Amino acid sequence: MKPAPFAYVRPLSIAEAVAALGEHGSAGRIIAGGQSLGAMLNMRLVAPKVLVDINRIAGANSIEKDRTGIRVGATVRQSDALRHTDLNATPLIKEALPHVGHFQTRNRGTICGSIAHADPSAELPLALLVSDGAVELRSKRGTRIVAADDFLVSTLTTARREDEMVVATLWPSAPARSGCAFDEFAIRGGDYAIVAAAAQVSLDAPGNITSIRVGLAGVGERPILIDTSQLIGDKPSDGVAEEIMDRARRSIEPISDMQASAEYRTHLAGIFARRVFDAAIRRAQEGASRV
Amino acid sequence: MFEVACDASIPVRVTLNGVAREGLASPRMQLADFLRHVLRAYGTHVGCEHGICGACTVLIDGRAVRACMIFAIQVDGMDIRTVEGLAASPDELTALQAAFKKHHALQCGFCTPGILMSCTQFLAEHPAPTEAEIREMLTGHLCRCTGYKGIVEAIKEVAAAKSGA
Amino acid sequence: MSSLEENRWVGQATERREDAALLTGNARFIDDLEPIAGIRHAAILRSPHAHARILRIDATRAEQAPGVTGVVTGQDIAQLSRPLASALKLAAKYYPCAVGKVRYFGEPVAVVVAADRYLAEDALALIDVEYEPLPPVVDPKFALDPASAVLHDEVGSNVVHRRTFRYGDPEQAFATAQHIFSYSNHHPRVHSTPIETYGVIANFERAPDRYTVWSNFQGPFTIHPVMSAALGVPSQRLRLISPPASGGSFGIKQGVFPYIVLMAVVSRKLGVPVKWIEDRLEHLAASSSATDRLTDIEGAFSDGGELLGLRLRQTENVGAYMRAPEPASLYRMHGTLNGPYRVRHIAVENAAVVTNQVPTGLNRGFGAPQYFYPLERLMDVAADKLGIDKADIRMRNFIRSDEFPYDCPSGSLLDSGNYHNTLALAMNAAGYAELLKERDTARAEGRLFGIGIGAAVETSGSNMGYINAALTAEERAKGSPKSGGAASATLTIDPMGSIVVNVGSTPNGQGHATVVAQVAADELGVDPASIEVITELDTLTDGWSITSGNYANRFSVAVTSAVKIAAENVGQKLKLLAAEALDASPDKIQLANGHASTTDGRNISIPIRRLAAQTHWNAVALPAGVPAGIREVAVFSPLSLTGPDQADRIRSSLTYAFLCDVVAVEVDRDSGRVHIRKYGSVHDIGNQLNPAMVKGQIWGGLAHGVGAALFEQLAYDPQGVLLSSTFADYLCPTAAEMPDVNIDHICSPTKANRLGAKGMGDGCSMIAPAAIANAVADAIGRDVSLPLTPARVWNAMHGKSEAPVEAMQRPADAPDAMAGRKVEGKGLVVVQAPPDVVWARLLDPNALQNAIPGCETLQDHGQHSYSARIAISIAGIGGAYDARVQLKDLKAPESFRLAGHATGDLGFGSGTALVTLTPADDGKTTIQYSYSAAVGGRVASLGHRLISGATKLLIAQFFARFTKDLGGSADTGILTKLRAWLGGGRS
Repeated sequence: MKPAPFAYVRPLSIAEAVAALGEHGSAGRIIAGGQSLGAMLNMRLVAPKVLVDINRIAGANSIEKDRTGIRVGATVRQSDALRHTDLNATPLIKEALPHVGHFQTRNRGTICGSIAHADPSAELPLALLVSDGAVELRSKRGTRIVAADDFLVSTLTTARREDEMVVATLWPSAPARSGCAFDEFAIRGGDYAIVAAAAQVSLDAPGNITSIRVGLAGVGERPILIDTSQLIGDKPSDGVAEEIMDRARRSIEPISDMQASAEYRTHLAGIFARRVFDAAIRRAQEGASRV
Repeated sequence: MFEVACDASIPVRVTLNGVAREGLASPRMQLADFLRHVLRAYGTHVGCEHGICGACTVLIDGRAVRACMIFAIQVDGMDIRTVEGLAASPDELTALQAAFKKHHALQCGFCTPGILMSCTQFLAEHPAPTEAEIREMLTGHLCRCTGYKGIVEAIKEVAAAKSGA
Repeated sequence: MSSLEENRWVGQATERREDAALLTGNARFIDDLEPIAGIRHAAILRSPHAHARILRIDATRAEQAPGVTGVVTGQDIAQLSRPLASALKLAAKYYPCAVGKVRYFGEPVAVVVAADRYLAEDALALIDVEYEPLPPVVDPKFALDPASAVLHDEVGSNVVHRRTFRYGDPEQAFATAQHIFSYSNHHPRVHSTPIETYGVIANFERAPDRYTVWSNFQGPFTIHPVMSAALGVPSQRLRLISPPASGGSFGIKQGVFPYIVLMAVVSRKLGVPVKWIEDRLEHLAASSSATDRLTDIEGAFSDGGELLGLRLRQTENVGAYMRAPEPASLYRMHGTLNGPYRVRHIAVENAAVVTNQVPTGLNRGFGAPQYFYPLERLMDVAADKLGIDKADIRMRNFIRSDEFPYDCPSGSLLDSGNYHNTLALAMNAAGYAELLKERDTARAEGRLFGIGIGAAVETSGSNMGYINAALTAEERAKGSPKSGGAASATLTIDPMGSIVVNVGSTPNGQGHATVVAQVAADELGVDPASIEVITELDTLTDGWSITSGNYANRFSVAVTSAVKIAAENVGQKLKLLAAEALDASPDKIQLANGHASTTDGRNISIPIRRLAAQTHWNAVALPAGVPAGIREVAVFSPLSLTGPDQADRIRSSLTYAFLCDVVAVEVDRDSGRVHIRKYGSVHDIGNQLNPAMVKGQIWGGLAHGVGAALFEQLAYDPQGVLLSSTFADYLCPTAAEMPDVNIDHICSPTKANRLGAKGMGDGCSMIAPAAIANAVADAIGRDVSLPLTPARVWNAMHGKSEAPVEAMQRPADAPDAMAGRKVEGKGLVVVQAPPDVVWARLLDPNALQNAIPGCETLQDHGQHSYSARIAISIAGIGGAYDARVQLKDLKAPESFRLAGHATGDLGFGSGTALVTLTPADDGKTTIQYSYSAAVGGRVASLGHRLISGATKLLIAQFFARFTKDLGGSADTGILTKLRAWLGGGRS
């Protein structure tokens, strides 16, 4: 189980990296942490002609914080992110990270790589979507920022063009009186999620919902957001939570596979959507009471 | 920009267990194969080549990483530690190795080198882990012989001795 | 045998001598060896089909690839070897590489040998194989059907073995019983999957023709004659050598033997030494597996819960070939068909079938989990129906302690035990009384809490004759009789007084060397550290017999007895020498602390080393009758292990340990997840040789049992595509899934061997699945079949079909042999053009070529038939495919049907679709489509989780391109996204 031959390119700057991508087009492939790509290469499911190793690009492993949020660079390791105090401002990513792979794979796997890979069961694309985050793409032609919802197209497919590199993911800071939660159901810890769910809510002073985003992964070709716009202004209640559960189940058309039928996934999707909603509300309320 | 053709073999230099080593590798050579078949450090084992069993785990610049999913060419210039380099001398065991022996934390021993490397980083970062944390860290390894009981006991004992000291 | 004395090494929980090397990276496994110069590396081309005829193999391109030494195909193998034999003389020919036909996903088709493994794998892709797919037979139920496609034409049926047995008077027992209860199950396949895979290094030499093979084969060496016969050499010309260390087996490394033959032939054909290290995908797809088994069990019970009669109908799925030692799985428990119970009247109908799955063989528990699961579920069913406590019904039926030795109806002799006390202690270990209360409380709160019990007789030290129970008495009379279960050990003391024990027991991590040293040290009065132990085997230089090897827990029941006899004999010789040297009577000499000393009060002694050395250095001066040197070969051969008698009674094993597991579970109502809350496990294994190692074996066996109960299944889809093809799909328990367990023991020593130890190690792997399933059934009030994954349990709780997918359904009436993983869907697109424009475009080859993602060429063959070359790529996964498409039932401009198939680098697929056009407002057209596609081959096996999404993506890509300049909108956002992507990116 050995990879097919590939040439190796090691850019030391983003400019060099996008030049390489521009040169090699579809024959080139970026390797960051390689915790998904490595296995696919070994199994010869993919056989790029050129591997573009971005791991030594100066500064690509930085986490930057400003007023609006956090910018996570291309080679920031999942384990470093988990430890980084700046990410306390975007708690959903921290909630999601312990569910991603294992201690050992998080040591090498990157935040941006997981999002660029766009596995339909993966946690980080879901977290970015529910955080209303975005992806920063760079090519020789310039830089563009693509919202997570537009970036995540389908199974292993994103809006990234062949000559573009994901140079960062952008995570908006959580507003005041907000709470988030992430949970998932997998057979064993570290397995592909049968259902993953994330919620991000904020409340106004009287405790009514001012913003709400609830999303699911593992239930379709890409993570999805549940339409919850009608719940804005509502006071959180059991009724609202029930509504979330129903909407979650109605928003998806999951597949059946070896571990879970479509019906079972749909059932779990409702339960986990409600669970993360309840937890997010609780945290928002706790946060508000501390303010 | 550093570029290597697919059929070229180039020298890869690493510090392996404190010793400068060099060997030839083509771009696609897995680090695990480089360590084993080029540098002849056979202590690192290969179990699945897709990152789940954890047998090939080594420390790269202090971090436990799968040597099957990283290519030798990527670690040029880096510090690699493997099971051969844990103890200070060949006839010694570290406290962790000794605890594994005491608690029968291994049977066939094929998965053990990888587990020891993960534990080394883990214990350095978590001096007083809970059993749940230990087990969570171990989910990155498969052992088919021991049922993990002895492994968990050994790690707990080493952690207790460290944090108690 | 008296109880073990305190100052002895045996019975002490010592550390293991094996560990220092293993912990420091100094132990050497097969892939660490380069025993001969000039080794080349092999990679194996494997079948992407479950069942297909091989029409053509062209290896020309592969042979010319860089670094390639040569390519060997099934035809070469058939020319240079003979089929591998099994105990049943079937007409089916089993070669280690497919000849003419492939019969399971992953079956070897050709071998490439190259300078390294990377280059060998490169060349695999250059071998062109043309297959004619055949309808697969995957489920053993369908293999029983005479109408199923036949795997082996020479046999003419997929049922390759049938035998019925009758012990006592089962008809009478069932006719007069007050109650008859039944239980049926399909025990799934599990795979012991050790972390080290198979490895073989084979070297062929001429003049005379001989093969030397290094491999992690673990025995039984009954397989050696099978291999040498296949290679056509006398047995001494097939030299098997085991490496110093082996990375786990649990039986499965028995199944490396076809690869030993394969690589031996490859080495001969290509004239180079060849090394093959199996990778994990190969291991899961094509090494070996435990059998899956259909069982219908019926019990005749009295009102009081007494089990009076048993009827078993067992159908064993041995996979694509009946491979030696099968059908042993079906007969391992045959002598003990009553389990731990007193039932005397038993009827059995056995069948074995071949299917398009990997051939089976030794895996932990070997045949026992498949047997105990239905039996122990039946006991619970009966207890529920009769209103008897689950522990009580077992207590009422257990063989009583005063009945040992107990002669089982089907032949085994259970020599000792106290089953009642064992269960009582297990209930204690789990806190049974408290669990009953906890269950009441939990149920009052609406929680799903259940308690389960399992009891198993752990058979160890197999009788070589038990497989012959598969033959009728007449067939047995024609063949050569088989019996026994001998073990041997050689103890030598060299001229410097150093002790070496050679057992050749080929361990795979069990720590044999540690225990051998303990046993020998006790007899010789030396420190175990001073004894060297050789456990690896070289068939040319070491004594071996057909029973050699590491299987059926035979080490502690037979090998250690041979060691003890050898050491006793050497001890006697040393005492004779000491008696002469110390001028004492031999019976007044004791061996202790490395010295022979007198016990006559004089307290004089001589070092044992010196006594032993004298046999080499001063041979002439030895006492009369004492030969020079010390080399003692001892054989332990239990004479009780006779072959099957005329009534088909067979003493299948040497010792019979006993264990009871008591487990409490809570099932999460929301998800169906099973949480093990309490686990007690009590074992009566007789004397423990090293209690720390015993504990390790129990924990390890339990991990396999818990895995089989909750997670593990070697699953195939209805078309025979392996779904559990990686460690992401074959789910072994990790540290987080293992429950805490309270382990305890009682001790009823056996007289069957010299150390009073009963075999152990399989233990909980035999019974944990039954105990846990009993607890889950108790919790949810319904039966669930293994593995008890959350989805299956939840489905059962809600009265739905358990299997999340049609894991084992009969292929459709007209099975599409090309099919595999099934994908279905439908969609809708609105196009900004009227139906006749859309229709014309759909039938326009140029427009189609532009719309089909990755379409490189498209040829119009007329009659709406097209062929195309398509490069599919989803995240780089895909490759080039040759596709054929036919449009049918055209009703312009309303609808047509489409059927097509494609074959490519990573797999193949076929599908049908219905496309309808309806006019919409403002001159638009609504295109509706529904499709059903099936995907097979490697991509279906490795990527089954993603195929459905990928299919939807490809269709969306098609419509995005198709409607690009027409304008349109889809029912999902994906089309919009794709159009934006297309607009900005590719073109």
